[in-house]
Amino acid sequence: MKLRQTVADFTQSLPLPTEAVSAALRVTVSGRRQVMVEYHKGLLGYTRETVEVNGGTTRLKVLGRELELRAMDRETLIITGRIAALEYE
Amino acid sequence: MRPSRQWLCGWAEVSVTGLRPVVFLNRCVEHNIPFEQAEPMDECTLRVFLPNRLTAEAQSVAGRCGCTLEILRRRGGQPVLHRLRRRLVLLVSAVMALGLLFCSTLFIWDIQVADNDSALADREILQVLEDAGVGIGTFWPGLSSDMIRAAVLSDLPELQWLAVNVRGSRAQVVVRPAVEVPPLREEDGCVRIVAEHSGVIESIHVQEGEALVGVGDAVLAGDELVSGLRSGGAETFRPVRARADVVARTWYEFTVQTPLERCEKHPTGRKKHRFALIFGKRRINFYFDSGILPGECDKITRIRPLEWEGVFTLPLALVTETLIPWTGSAASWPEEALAHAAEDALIEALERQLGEKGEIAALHFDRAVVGDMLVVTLRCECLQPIAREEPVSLPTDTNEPVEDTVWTEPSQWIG
Repeated sequence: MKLRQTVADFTQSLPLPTEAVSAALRVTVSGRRQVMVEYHKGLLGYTRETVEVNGGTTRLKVLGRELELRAMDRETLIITGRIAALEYE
Repeated sequence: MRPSRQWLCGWAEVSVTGLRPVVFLNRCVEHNIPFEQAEPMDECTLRVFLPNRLTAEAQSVAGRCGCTLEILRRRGGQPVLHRLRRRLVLLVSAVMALGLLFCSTLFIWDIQVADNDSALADREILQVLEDAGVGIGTFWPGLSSDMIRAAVLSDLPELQWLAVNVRGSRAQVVVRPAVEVPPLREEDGCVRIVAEHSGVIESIHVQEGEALVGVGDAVLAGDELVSGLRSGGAETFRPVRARADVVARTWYEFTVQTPLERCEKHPTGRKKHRFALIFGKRRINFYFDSGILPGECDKITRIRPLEWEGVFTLPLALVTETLIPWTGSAASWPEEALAHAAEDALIEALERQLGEKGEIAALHFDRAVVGDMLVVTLRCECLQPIAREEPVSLPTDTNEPVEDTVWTEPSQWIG
């Protein structure tokens, strides 16, 4: 954990955009109808109310109603529906 | 995937059942199986859309995830073709229809003239084009633009340039009118200036010839204003081409009569529709007594060609004629409105008479009702150029050139 923290501190100190030096999840929320998640590592759970996305070191939970996985590929997934909240675990 | 492309490739709606169907989605991503609109039906079942061609691979992936994959339905172009394999006649007919459609796009089925600013009517241009081999049913890949242009422009000198653009069986003819070459001014010959209209001379500027009238003189139409003979001294005269700007004060009176009552149309409320088909140049009417309209009625004709705008046009068009019968009744119009319309018409006629260089100095309107007619009279005073060149016939009993001839008496030339 200490090594990971050190690497994270080092990359943050570099004069580069964060997304260029880390593989962290990039989440784009468009209004309340669509969420686009990039650099994911797959799905962990999927119901009409919750979509759990594996982000490697973290887990993103999209909460809402009538959620639907519109499209998914190796890097990106698009979730549509009535988005209520996003939670990180 | 766009709906049209999705339809052409074909897609399958499948349900995946298992303990963790979400694993199936992750495996699909790993195996590059694109999917769309994944929707959970319950905790153990997912509904998802997959490309048709990848359902077998998806089935094996589902098996490896401990899920079962069931194809609910297949849609799109590929499944339709697959089903048509059993119906050979239908398949052949569809292929033939597509072939005919393609072949029909190689012929001209509609031809129109665009941006025709020339003095020629569209009909005349189309007639000459047809004589040159461009008409309905022409095989357009065999046409040569240069040949068409050469054939048409030689027959229609009123045109300077012509192009035929064919797009989806529709030919559009674009024409440009020829620029009219102004007539060259002849310096030879004897010309005098006469009055085009009666009036009182306001100004006269003579560039060539000898003025016969002065400012303030009253002249009648046809009176000679500037002589075509110039005095050469010792009672000799030389024929010249007279040139002069003569402006005169003229007077005009125009009268127009318009009825106070007019016939107004009242539709009876009954409509009659007639149909016809135009196939190439032939028209097939689905009614009798084609040219006879039943009493007083308006006819609205609508032609709907069988086409896909910009893609293809078929030589088939549906004609719908709507006949709207009406009855006429006399209705009186407001006198003021009629008078204004008449005055506008009179001013328009006056402006045509004066031309571009003339101007109105004063005008006055008079109105009178005579019987059931409204009579509007325009009286006006104008300033306008009245000089008109008139060639003079010279005696032909001399062989000498005109410019070298010296005439001793003006009575020898005839106006």
